[in-house]
Amino acid sequence: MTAAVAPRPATSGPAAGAVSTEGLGELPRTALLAATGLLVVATGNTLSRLEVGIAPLVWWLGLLLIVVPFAVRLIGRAADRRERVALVILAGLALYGVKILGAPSAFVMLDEFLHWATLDDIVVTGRLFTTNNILLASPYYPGLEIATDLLVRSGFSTWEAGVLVVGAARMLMMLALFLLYERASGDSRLASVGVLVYAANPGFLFFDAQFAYESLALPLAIFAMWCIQRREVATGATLPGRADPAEAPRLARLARAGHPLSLTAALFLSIAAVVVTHHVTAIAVSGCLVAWAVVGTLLRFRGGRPAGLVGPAVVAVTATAAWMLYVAFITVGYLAPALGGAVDQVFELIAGDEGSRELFRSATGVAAPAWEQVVGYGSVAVVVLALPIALPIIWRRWQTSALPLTLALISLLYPVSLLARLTARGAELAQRSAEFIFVGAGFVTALAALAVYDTAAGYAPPDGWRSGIVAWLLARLRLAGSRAGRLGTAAVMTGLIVLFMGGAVLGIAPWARLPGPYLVSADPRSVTPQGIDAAAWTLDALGPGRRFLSDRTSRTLLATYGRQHPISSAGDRINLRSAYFATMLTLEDQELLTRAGVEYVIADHRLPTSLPYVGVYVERGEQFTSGPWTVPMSAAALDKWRALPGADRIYDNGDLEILDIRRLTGRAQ
Amino acid sequence: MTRSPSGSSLRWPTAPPRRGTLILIVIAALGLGAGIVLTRGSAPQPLLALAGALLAFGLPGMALSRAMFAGPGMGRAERIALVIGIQLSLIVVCGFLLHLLRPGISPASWGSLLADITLVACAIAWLRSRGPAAAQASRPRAVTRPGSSWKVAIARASTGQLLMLVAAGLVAALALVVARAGVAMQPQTPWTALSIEAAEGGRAATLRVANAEGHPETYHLVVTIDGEPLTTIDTPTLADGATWTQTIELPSAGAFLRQVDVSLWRAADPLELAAYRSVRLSSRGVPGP
Repeated sequence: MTAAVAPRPATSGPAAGAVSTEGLGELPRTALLAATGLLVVATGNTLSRLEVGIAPLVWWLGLLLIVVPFAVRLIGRAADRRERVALVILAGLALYGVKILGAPSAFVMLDEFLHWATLDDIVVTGRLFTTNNILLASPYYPGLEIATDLLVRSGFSTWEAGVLVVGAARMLMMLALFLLYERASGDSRLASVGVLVYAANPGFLFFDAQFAYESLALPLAIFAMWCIQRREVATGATLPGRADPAEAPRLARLARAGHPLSLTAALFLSIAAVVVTHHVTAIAVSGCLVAWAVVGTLLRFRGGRPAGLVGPAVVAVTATAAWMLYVAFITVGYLAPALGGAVDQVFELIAGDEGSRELFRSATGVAAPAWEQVVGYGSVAVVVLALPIALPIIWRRWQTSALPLTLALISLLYPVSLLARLTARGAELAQRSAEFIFVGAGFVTALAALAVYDTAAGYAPPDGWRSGIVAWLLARLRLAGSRAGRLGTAAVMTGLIVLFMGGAVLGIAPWARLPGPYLVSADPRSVTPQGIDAAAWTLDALGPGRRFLSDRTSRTLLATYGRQHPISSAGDRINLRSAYFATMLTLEDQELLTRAGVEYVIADHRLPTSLPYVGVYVERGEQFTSGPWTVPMSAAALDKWRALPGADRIYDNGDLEILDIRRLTGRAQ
Repeated sequence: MTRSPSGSSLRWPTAPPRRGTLILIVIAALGLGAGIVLTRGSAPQPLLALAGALLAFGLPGMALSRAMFAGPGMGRAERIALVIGIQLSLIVVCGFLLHLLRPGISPASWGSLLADITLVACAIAWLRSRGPAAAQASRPRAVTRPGSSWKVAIARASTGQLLMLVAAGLVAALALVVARAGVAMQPQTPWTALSIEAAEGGRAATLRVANAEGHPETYHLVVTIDGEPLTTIDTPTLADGATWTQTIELPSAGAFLRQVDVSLWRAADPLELAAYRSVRLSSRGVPGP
């Protein structure tokens, strides 16, 4: 390989981890810019509510205003470790603010309602393991609800308590991931950029910021991993090399002063919390610990020291399996079909038996804007391109350190997950796995970004993660000196911005990203005051626990604002689709309703005005023909309840009606 | 902060013993106070919220991390991560413990358990602070990176930097105000909700009207029973967002099934046209007195 430029001496720029003597460094300026970005995002949301066309543009501008200053400061070499720690926490909280500002006073995302229902049950009964008909697994993984329970009992609203708990978890996520990456690499600069890249994963901005179990479990899992790595250092098993000699005394001091027993206790406490908080995170962290232990064991054959990784892996796997099999067995039936179906479809896709899913097209048939598609593909390309740049460096630099190698292995799952995105059932799996895969991909992509940046700029970092590929490319392009530096800087900054925007594009559909007018079966956009009033009225007038036949949105509102029992095919093991969608009730339908014990029906007359944005009006498998809805459901299917002898319309707000059908189903007293 | 003879900066990696003891006393006192507030449950709402927040977000985690990680070896960022991580994990595990205990999960059981953990952890931390590890911690050690503590950084911060931080907080708060204003300003389809429910064991029916028409509104209601007029009601003017309820007595008619129909018109709606909203209640009457 030919170096394009002569390496600058390490002293030519402030070394990573160097100490800024200018007080708080760029922290105040970056904080102010991030806050301004939040204000612009809030303005974009408000404009979107008022149906002003430029609202999405304003929203994206706000997001960039938040992200770019952090990226510039963290990629640069001027910030010291202290400032980097503060910046990554601030970045995490600012991006959490983007989600909060979309719904600044109430829950609107589907999963939030599902967990709110479990929380309500715990608050009312004072016991765990209640029944949640709209998310069967939730009561068996009540970690998030437990963490929120005390605040609700202290007088906070459910929304306030949820925002606070998820905010604390978000702070832990950023800090623990930074410390984990720093332990893996020995470089606070790489760690901070790695955390920023992680924050670009499609699930970070919205999915993992909602009041749902993964939002708590994932930070705790990262915390557990950091405890393991910190314990490893405490016991002297691993002492990763440092990028900056100035950091060496600090690390040596940390290695000497251990607390291995206390770290072990903290580790097992956090693993226990993860196991009872979220099934998928527990499985993912178990898998990760097993991979880490295998890598650590293999490295022992290469002369490494015993790293104490097997114990945590065995505990995590045993605890996860035991909880799932003996306490939360219902989860197996919940996860297995989704996982199995996705794997089957991927194999069918490879074998050519199944056509690929059309990307960037909603269930209503509307395609995402072309620029969003370009950015989405671009963000995927950034990660894929980072792999061949960073993996050789990792192998060269850390071939005796288990954690960097494990992170590299995790990052290799990213291309595999892309294949799953092309299938209908695998798409959700790929979407949900991004936040786990990016734990590895964030580290690897950040390393590639810094390698490109430093190689192009001509820096010669002490640990020598100079990228041979980039140097070769610069030589071929006959770029050197400041031109190469400018090009490298521009490439890295553009890549990071594309990665971030692509994450937001891939993570949430355009119609769900910003608030706005009502849309049919479009989770956050379908929550309206009419629906909430109807649901709240049922609690006041009918009392809790009544059995309702309802659509997807009403179901979540009834279970939370109304504390009712909306019937679901998974929870009640009965499929009422024929009764719901039929334009006339048959005798069989009436028998079905009787068997299901339906007492009330909620009819939302807005549903037939459009195709459902999430693909279903009620639940999966509701269509009588295979494939998605191609025409909206029939209005007569909802009108039939009015004309039904024995059905009383007891609530009417124009859009929604509640019908009492107890005389029809034999449940009238 | 002192300086060594060689001129290098000295600092205590953890709080020196006296200050550490003081911090433990404060944590224990706050934990005890919060526990008492939650256990009694009769405190004013803000105090109850503060007690809950302290026990949910910090005190047990701080006390436990001090008990578990006494002495040197942990940086500030690591300690913050430990406090949050231990706190969140602990509260989840405590929830399961409370579930297994007879009183179940309640403010009082939360208060007593978390306060107990805080007090015990503070006691252990205090005992450990008198041990050899803490003695080592209390010895000033040379630090090679001058000015690495946050205190020094804040002390060195310029007025402009501090003002920028304050401004950032204010702008973030303004963002929340703008977002909430957006919720209030969002155009909504005007609607009115009319409902009926049985009351007094079938002897009466409760009517409810909720106005969300975007302006004050008056309603005219016509109530019939088995098709015969029962009563008409003109509601008072309801402000936007206001709700009106009234319970009407139903004539006793034995245990027969009766059908009560209610139709609603807005003040400006012509009564000849179909009702704006209508509801129906079928209920079995009860024998008269």
